[in-house]
Amino acid sequence: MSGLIDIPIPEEQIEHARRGDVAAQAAIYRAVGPAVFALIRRLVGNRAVAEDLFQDTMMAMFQRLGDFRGEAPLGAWLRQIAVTRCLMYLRSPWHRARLHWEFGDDDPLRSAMPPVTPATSADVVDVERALASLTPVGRAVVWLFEVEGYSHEEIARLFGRSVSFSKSQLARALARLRHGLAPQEGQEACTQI
Amino acid sequence: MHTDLNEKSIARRLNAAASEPSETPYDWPEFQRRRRRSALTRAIERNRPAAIAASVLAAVLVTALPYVHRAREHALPAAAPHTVAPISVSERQEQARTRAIEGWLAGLPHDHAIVRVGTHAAVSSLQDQIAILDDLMTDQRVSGAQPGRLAALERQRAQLVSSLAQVQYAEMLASATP
Repeated sequence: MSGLIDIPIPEEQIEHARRGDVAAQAAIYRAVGPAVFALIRRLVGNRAVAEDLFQDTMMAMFQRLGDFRGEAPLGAWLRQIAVTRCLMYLRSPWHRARLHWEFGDDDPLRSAMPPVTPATSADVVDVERALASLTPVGRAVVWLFEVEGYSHEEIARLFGRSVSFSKSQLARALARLRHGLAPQEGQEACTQI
Repeated sequence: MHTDLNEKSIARRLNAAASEPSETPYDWPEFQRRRRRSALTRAIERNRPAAIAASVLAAVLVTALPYVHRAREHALPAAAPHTVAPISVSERQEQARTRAIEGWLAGLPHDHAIVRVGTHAAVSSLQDQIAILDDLMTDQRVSGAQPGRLAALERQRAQLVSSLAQVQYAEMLASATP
């Protein structure tokens, strides 16, 4: 799991935020914001788009907080909002056209790769690079299935496609990840020297 | 090095990447700023048809009014000199409404962050036409014009003031957008 579901938000804080208490809203933003942005960034890749979708998701959360019944953790409810928005973006014809215009002759990895900081471990850098090599839909499917714990049925429903679509996308994405994460001949030679 | 790359090991590595600490792209004040801007943009989007309609109306009035003005001058009958026509109740109501709009217009800031040439020209033109109508109405009152004619001129003036208010309102919303 991305950790969004496990973030504890006190009920009274949610209640205050629902009534328009700015301090409570700020506290919720600080608590869940990083996990929401990380999830969106994984699903859509591009940072600028992720920022837009993050803003949209957080605004939707505060606007619709009155509808939140508290039956599930706030993070689970918020995750659903974020995932729905990301998949709407990935499914839009505009997005497909934009990908074509922006990355026509360019390397999509540069945009899809999250920033690497000195604290980022080497293995995470490898994983990020391998994820960035996937198609946006493939990356979303593999992340939802392997990390967020969605079933094929749920993914199919979110994409408005069949279960076999989800399974085939996952199989292709895993094959590509396997290839991307496998130790390279050249790398081994370098480390041995 | 990972040699056993089955689905489970890939999932494990993906989950390890997911648990890496992350940050929001911007802090709470910046989020609030964007939220307000977004709300304002939506308000502008909602008012866009009204603003466009107001601009079109203003353009039509600005174009047509000089002709109407001239036609009315020719059509006005000669009245008895030095008799002031009485002001009707409906005319007073129209004047009160127009005064309220003018009060609102007077309270608007005069220096906008962004001045659009087209809007500025439309505003100036509307203000000129209102001033011309004011002069015309004063002349008509002094020369004892028929109340119906004065009421028609008053309505025309009220429409112009209303158009001016709509154009100014659209301009105010536009200039408030960063």
